[in-house]
Amino acid sequence: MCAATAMLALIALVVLISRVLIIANAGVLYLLVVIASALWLGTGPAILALLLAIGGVAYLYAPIDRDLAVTGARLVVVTIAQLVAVVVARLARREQSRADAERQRFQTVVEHAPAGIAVLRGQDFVFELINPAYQAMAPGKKIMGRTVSEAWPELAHQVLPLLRDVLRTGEAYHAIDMPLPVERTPGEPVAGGYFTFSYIPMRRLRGWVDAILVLVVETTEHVLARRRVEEQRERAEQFAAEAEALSVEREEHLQRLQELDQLKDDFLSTAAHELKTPVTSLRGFAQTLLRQQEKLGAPEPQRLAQTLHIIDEQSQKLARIVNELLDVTRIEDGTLQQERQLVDVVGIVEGVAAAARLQTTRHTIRVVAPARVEIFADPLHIEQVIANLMDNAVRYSPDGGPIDIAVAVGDGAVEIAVRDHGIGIPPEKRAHLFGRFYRAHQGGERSGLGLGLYISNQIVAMHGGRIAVDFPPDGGARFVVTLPPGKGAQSADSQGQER
Amino acid sequence: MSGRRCVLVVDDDEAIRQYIEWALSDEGYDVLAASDGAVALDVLMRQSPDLILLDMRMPVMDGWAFASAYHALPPPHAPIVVITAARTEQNPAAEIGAAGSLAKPFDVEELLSVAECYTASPR
Repeated sequence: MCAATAMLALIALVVLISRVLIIANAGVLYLLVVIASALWLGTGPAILALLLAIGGVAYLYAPIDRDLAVTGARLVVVTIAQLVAVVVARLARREQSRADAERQRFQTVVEHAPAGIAVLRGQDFVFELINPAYQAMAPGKKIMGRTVSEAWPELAHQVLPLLRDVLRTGEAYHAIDMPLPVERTPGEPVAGGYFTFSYIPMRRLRGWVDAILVLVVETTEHVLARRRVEEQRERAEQFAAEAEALSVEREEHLQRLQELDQLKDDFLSTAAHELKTPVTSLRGFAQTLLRQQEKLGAPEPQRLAQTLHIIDEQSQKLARIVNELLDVTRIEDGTLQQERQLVDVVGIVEGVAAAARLQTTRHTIRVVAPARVEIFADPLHIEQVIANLMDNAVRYSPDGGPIDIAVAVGDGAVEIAVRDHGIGIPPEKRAHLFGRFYRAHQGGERSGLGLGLYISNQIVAMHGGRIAVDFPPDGGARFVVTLPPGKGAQSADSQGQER
Repeated sequence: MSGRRCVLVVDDDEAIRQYIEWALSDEGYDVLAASDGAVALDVLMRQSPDLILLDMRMPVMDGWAFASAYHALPPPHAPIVVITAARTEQNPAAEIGAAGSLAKPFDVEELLSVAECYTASPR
């Protein structure tokens, strides 16, 4: 309507101006008006302008004389005007259909986009456009034409600050897997969901933002699925780690059992060797004596004396082995009896030292101790421990040398140290020294059943003490028994003196 | 070969060595004794016994080490009879290529019959 008024005003203006112009100039002006009408106002107004132009020219320069005679001026004007009208109309139609197709295409994209698309206009963020995918996120809800706060009151407090920021700064905002509370259907409880979305500012020609394009995809299922996969992977990893640990544990257990089995086999073969050797010589010597007696009527006196000495030695050895085995059995089943009393440990040490001096001439056995140190203990057991350490000291210093026993009272404990200068113990054999059946030195006179230190350690532990060992740099070994002092334990001479 | 047969006893146990020495010498054997494999090899440098009685468990040089060192020497080699303690130790005899074994506790009769058997056989 307004377009038609503008066009009529334009024509009237041209008519007025053309009264003072020659016909050719007026014709050009009319043409311009027709073209302008066609470009800006469309085909209909262009045809109207064309008719008015023809009328105008005829009125000005060839008054209607009803005869419709074809004059030169008329012909030119009409022809040009027709041509222009046709061209302009065709151009306008093509432009129109192109714009229509463009709009159609855009609409198809928006309609079928798998993502939710919406346009929010103004400061209140009014939904100006939404596509079906957007609506599908809350099927029963009225969204079009409402503001964000009206459509989504449950999440307005979260998204409004973001939208305002986009509007203010003109910068797009992107969120990935943002958890948002969403009311899917009016009246139903709000359910949480995860959304990946973008707020993209839409600018006017001059650059200011007056709308926001919203692109949104709900990723709840993806996030949950990913989380499930993650959980399962974690569980699988944990399971694998547990299985690994279990298999390592089993491996270690198996290895321990194999070691114990090996130790048991070694022990049985050692025990057989240790028991059968003295038995063999006892029988052998008895038999050789008997044979001599049969042959000669009586054994040689010298051999008889030697044999009796050997029999005494060998039976002692047997008795010791049998006692060790009995001790281990009693320790194992907890029936080792203790008769504790206040005893002088220095007296015990000196007794052991005196006995040892009778056994060996190669060793110098020295005792450094106070006159008297009392402990509360089973005297036989303590004697057994010290005798075992002394026996080891003699046995493992085959070349002789000094063996020192020191008794000291200090720091609420009584210490008995036995130090030899013998072959010591190789570093790799030191770890299991107090273990059952463990023998640091295999074979020969030096080996035993591997029970001495084990028994000693158990006995000392029963007394609330412990045995430690160190290896001085100048060789040999130093075993230190630490025992709690007896009630009112005293030492007559804490300095100690050599005797 | 001279009339007296010679036996080498290799055992770390002094009592066992003494017993074998007396038992065999009473029957007319010459007896050599060594307390471990190394001493035995030393003895073998100077003398060639007809039989070696060998204990396996010994300090310094045990029966296995002695046997391999002995067999590495140029022949002739005297037969070795292993002195064992456990029944499970039957295999050391086979391991070191010994002629036989003597299980502890053995009595004089067994000892003498082993000595008789292995020293009588032609080498």
